[in-house]
Amino acid sequence: MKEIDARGLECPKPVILTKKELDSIKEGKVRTTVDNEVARENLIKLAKSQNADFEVEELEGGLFAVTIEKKASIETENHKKMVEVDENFVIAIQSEHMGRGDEKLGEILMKSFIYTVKETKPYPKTMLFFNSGVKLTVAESEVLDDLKALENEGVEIISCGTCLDYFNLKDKLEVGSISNMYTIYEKLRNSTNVVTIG
Amino acid sequence: MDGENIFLILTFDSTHHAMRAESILKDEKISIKTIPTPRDITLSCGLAIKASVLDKEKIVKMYEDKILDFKNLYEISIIDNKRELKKII
Repeated sequence: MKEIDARGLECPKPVILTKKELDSIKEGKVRTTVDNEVARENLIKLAKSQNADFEVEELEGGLFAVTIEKKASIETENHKKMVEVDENFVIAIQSEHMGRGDEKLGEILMKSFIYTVKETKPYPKTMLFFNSGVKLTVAESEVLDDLKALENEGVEIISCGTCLDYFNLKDKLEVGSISNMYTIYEKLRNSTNVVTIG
Repeated sequence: MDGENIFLILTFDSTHHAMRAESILKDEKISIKTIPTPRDITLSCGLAIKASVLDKEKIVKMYEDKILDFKNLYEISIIDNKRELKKII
C-alpha cells in the first residue's frame, strides 16, 4: 500500500497527489492522510468518481486517512463506455443567471439549461462553476438534483473555492468538489470545446 | 420526481405565465421542475413545468378554481423508451 502524507497541503493538492498515484498503478491501495474535512470529502469524491472502494479513518489530532482501492479495471472501462462522456467537452458556468438583461428570466433559463444538459448525451467531461455560478452547487440550489445526477454519470463538477468563500458558501457545497484557479485554468486549457454560459 | 416514467407537463402561452405558475406551485409546496418544453409539444412557449403525476388532482383542481393558469396539461409516459403523450386539459 502506498502512503501519501498530505497534511498541511492546500486543496486541491491532496486530491491531485492521490489521483496521480492512482493513475500510476494498475491495482492496489493508496492511503492519504489529510488534516481537514474538505480534503477528506474531496478524496471521497475522487474515489466515487473513479468508481473505487474507499475507507475513511479518523485519526488523533483531527487527522483523517482515506484509503482508496483501485481494482484492475475491466469493470471501470465498461462503466466509462456506458455513460457516454465527451472527454473534450467542458461547460463553464460563470453566473447563476443565463445571459444578461433580466435576472429573473436568467434564473429560469439557467434551470432549463442545466436540465437540458442532464437530458442530453454525450455528457460534458467537466462542468466548472465560478463567480455567482457557485450558487448552483450549494444547498438550496434548484438544480442540485440534476447536477447530482450528472455527477453520478461521471461528470466532474468543480466549484471555485475563492467564489464559495466570497459568498460565504464554503460549508454549503452539496455537489462536486472545490477547486482553485489552477484547476479551472487547466480544465479550460486541456479542452478545445469549452462552452461558457452565464 | 426525476426518473419517473409517468409525469405531467404544463405548458403556457408565454414565459411570464410559466414563471407565475412556477411561483404559485412552489407556494403550494408542489414539487416541480421548470424545463424546456419537450419537442413533442410544439404549440406553446419555450418553458414548461414538469410535475409528478401524484399531484394531478391537485393541479387540475387549482386550474378549475382559477388559482393556477396554464395552456395545456399533458401526461407523458415512457414505456420501453417510447414516449406517449396524453392531453388532459
